[in-house]
Amino acid sequence: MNQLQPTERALLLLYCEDFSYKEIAESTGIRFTSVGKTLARTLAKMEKILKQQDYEMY
Amino acid sequence: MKCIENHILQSYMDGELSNSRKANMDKHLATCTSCARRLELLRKRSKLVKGLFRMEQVVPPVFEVNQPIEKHPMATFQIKHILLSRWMYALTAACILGAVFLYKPSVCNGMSSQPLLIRQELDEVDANRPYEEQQTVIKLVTHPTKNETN
Repeated sequence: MNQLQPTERALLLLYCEDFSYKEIAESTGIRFTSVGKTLARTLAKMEKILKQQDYEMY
Repeated sequence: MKCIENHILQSYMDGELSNSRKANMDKHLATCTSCARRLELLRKRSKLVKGLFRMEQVVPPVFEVNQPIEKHPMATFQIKHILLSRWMYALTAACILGAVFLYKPSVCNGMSSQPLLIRQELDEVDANRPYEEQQTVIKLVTHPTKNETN
């Protein structure tokens, strides 16, 4: 988690709490149209980090 | 070549697309295997990350006690202490009852030796007269009869 930006961290946390894109946009300051893109990018980044750390699920 | 970009697939997966766009996506995914495969990977990734972030609720196992609970016998000093305390309580109660009955002796037909009745006989009552000239007689009745108590 430390390898993520604060905005990315907040985005992931809100996403995991089942917040809508609109709510995520309002809370994080990310534009509504960019939430999907940022989320996809952040999730990919998180997956990469987990693979690097040799996470047991992988 | 990607048909649909990852972020659109992500939005579709999260239910953030409009109905018309969603319908188009459904049609496309029905025919395009690579997009369907990528969608599945995105789904798996989201599920994994969500699982990491959410706290796991641990249900404690149910404990079943099959063996009966043994009642340990009391030690001798504990038994003696209990018996002694019971005797003490009984003795105290007896003393209190005795004191009550001794203090209030012979209750015969509801009468006591103390004066019960103060009767005031008024021959002529004149509130304007001074007290010394009032025609009043006060009697102390020590053992009133049945007629007097009524």
